[in-house]
Amino acid sequence: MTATIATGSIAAQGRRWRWNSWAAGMIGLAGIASVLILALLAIVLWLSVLDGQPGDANVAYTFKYYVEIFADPFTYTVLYNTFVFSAITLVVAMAFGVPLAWLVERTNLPLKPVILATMTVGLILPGFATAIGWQFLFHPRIGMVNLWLKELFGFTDSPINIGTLLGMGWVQGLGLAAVAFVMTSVVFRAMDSSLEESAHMSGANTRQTLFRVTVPMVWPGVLAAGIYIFMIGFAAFDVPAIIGLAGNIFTFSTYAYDQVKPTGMLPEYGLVGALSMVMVVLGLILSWWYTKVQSKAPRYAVITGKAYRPRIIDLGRAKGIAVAFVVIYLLLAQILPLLVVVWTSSQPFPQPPTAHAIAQATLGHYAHLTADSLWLGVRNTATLMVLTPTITLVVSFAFSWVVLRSRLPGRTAFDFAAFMPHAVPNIVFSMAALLLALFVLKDILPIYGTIWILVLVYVVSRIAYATRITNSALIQVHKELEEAAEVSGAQVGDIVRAVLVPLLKPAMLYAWIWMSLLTYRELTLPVLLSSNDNLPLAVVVWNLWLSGKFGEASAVAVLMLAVMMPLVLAGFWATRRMGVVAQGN
Amino acid sequence: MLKFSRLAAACAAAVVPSWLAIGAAAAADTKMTPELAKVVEAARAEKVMDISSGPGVNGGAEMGSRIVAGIKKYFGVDLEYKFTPGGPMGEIGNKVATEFRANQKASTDLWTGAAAQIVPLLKLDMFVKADWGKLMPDRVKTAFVEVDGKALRIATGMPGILYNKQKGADFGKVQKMDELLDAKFKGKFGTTIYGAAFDVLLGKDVWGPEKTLAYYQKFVQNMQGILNCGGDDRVASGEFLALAFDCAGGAQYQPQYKGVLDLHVVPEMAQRRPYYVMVPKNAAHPNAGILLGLFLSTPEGQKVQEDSWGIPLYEHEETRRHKEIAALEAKGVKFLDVTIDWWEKHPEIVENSRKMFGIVRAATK
Repeated sequence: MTATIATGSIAAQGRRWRWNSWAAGMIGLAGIASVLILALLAIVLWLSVLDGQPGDANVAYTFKYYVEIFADPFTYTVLYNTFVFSAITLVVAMAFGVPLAWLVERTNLPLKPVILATMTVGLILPGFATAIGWQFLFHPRIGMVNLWLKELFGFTDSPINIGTLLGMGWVQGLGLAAVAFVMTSVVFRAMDSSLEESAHMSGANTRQTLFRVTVPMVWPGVLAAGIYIFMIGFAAFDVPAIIGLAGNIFTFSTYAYDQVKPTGMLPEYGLVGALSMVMVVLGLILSWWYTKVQSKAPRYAVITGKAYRPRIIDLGRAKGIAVAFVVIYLLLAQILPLLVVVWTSSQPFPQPPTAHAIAQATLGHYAHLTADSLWLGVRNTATLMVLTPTITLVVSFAFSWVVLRSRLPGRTAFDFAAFMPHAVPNIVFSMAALLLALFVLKDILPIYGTIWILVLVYVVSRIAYATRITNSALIQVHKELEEAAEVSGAQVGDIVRAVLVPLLKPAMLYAWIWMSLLTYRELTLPVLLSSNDNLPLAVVVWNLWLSGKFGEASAVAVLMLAVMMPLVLAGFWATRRMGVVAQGN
Repeated sequence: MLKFSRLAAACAAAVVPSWLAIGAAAAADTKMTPELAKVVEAARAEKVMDISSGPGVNGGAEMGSRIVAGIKKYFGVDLEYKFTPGGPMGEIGNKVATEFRANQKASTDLWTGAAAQIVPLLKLDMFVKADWGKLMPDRVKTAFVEVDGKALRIATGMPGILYNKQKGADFGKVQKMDELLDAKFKGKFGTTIYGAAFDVLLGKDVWGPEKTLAYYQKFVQNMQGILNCGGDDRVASGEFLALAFDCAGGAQYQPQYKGVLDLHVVPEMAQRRPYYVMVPKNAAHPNAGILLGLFLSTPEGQKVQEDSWGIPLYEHEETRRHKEIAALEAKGVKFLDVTIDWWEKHPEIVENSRKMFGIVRAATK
């Protein structure tokens, strides 16, 4: 666009210089982040061919890890399990998350703020609590539902077993439905309703409009959410570690964890590196697919200068069904785990709620918590919750602008770079960052053991998610608005400030809040990178869980919920008043 | 006499007139040898001990005030106790090893591990040599110190079947390992992915690799799933009826498990597995780490072990572990001492332990 700006005059040269400084800034930011991403990937590649341990005096290279993983039937079992688990997770998450987003953003569903606030509870709850809750319901031996069914129908064996890939995917998918909700609600909210109105005017009913107009329009955003959730499923750790291993099922994350953090031997970085490279190739394929869909982006530009106000659809008689759907979801995915975590925190050890168990209720786990480690965790988590989304969104906007608005040759490579972190399971990224900080950056940038290594890795790993948001949002802003501003004499900086930022503000603020909440519960990234001074709460809880202290882990989670819930509600109240979150009754 | 250059430098930096050391000793409740006086003064300068371990190990966070008071009582020095909850011992050991290779400060001033976790790290020469016996001659016997002063015995693990007394009482009657292959136990117990306690059977003078691997192949077919040491809550809840085998055998003494969990030692698997404390060379406060190791050797330190981890050192006759083992020995149970020295003499264990991991993996769905 700026290539068309006339040159020759001093004013034009001034504009050009300013354009260049803005552009250079954004390209530079995206470039630095890309280099960092590629450096981390390079470390994984290096580890996959390194014969020995990082830091060894004599370094040799080998392909033996690749031979080993491809020759080992267990690799295929792990890959199969991981794919099936991720696919089920995806289906469940999307089946709940996307309709919920549509209902909240585009219909006259009642009590939207309550729904939004309740959705956040699922993100604040530690994953282990959800997994334990489902174990108590559907474990073949101790599952209450199974026990009732056996008693009622006289079954000899338990009819339902949560310790299967299907059960694991169900539990993980319910948890990730909140993420699907977040990612797709942005898309639904930013839709131009004129196309739907045109469809109605042409005689299409609500169902036809939904499937022929709405769905094709939101397709890139939904696809992005789908790919994202599939990859989260690939890297998910809590549910596979608790339900999977107990049922003797390994997925990639539990396999990688055991290799990187073994007992009685040094870490097997090579095997994990080799398997990760396989994951990177798969991620590349997904990335290519996503980019192909995105290349049709102009078709999906739905915010134009003509009209931008999503139409609210009257649910009519279907309102009751919609409310039932929401209630069932909230009950299964949010309220049940919340009750379980509160219950577990009051019990000497996890046990089903019986009269005997109620009599044993205690606050002892709360008394055992030490203020020092809690305060450290709170401080670090709060820092991460502010810095991570802020920096990530700034960097992601730079990426999206370079890819979608600049004319930089090879700009699509930036999008590949931004998407790449998603192709690498977090635990591997974490491992690469650990080695980068310890062996490469230690003298230049001594960030090992500080909060900054976590900020760095969180930002890098979130770029894939955030750029999907900023890409989707930017795609939906038609270039005609920027062109109109440009014709009126605005510079790139002015366009960003006066046109793009106000239009993207709802999506960006929304993304900020949710990224902040996702940062709160992030476990896989810090579990390898945490040291004494940068320990976030999620790792405090994880270490307690890992040491068998479920009650104390739950007590920390409950205390944090007590602190977080008012903040979250206040945040939603404020954003609702700002018009960021959908208005509702 | 400490034989580590960094530590020696630290001690040299903390050179104090002998009267000062004697003055400190006057306030202390232990025999202040010249060697100990030097460590105490150096620790005084360090001011802090940074400890990271599993929450219950060596007292964890809960026993912090008792540890601080104990160190003050025995050595006359005020040290701040900073505890960071970490993961399993092997994980922390590997983390410290990675930090050592990268020339970074260690995450903990005192690492605790058993022979299986210690031996792979010894080749890195990453631990301080300390003259533990001379530092506290009345409590630390020569036999407690291994690897030329790098490792001090501090607790005794006694692997056994940790079982739910109400729902899995049959596990408490197992006398032969073959009984665990019985169909009545199928799908009812968990086992560790790292083959806790089974590793010892690989020793050529125990079962040997062939018999152990053949047995293990059948054993994992009978298990319910993977359950690592520390998963006591899951046995108590009945999700697993038993953990075969628990690494250290101390959870049954935790107050919340009273009447719920118990430990059963199968005679064929009777092992005394010492846990050792070791000071990393890259520790930020090595002298404070040494003092903590010494305190844990005292009667009060052993009581801290008993009240938190549940596994004091067998060799101290006043401890519950000593009485437990003595009672079993009186019944004819013969224990194998799995020390670092023993482990190093059995390289076939490490050679074959990966095969055990492969067997567990092969049994997965």
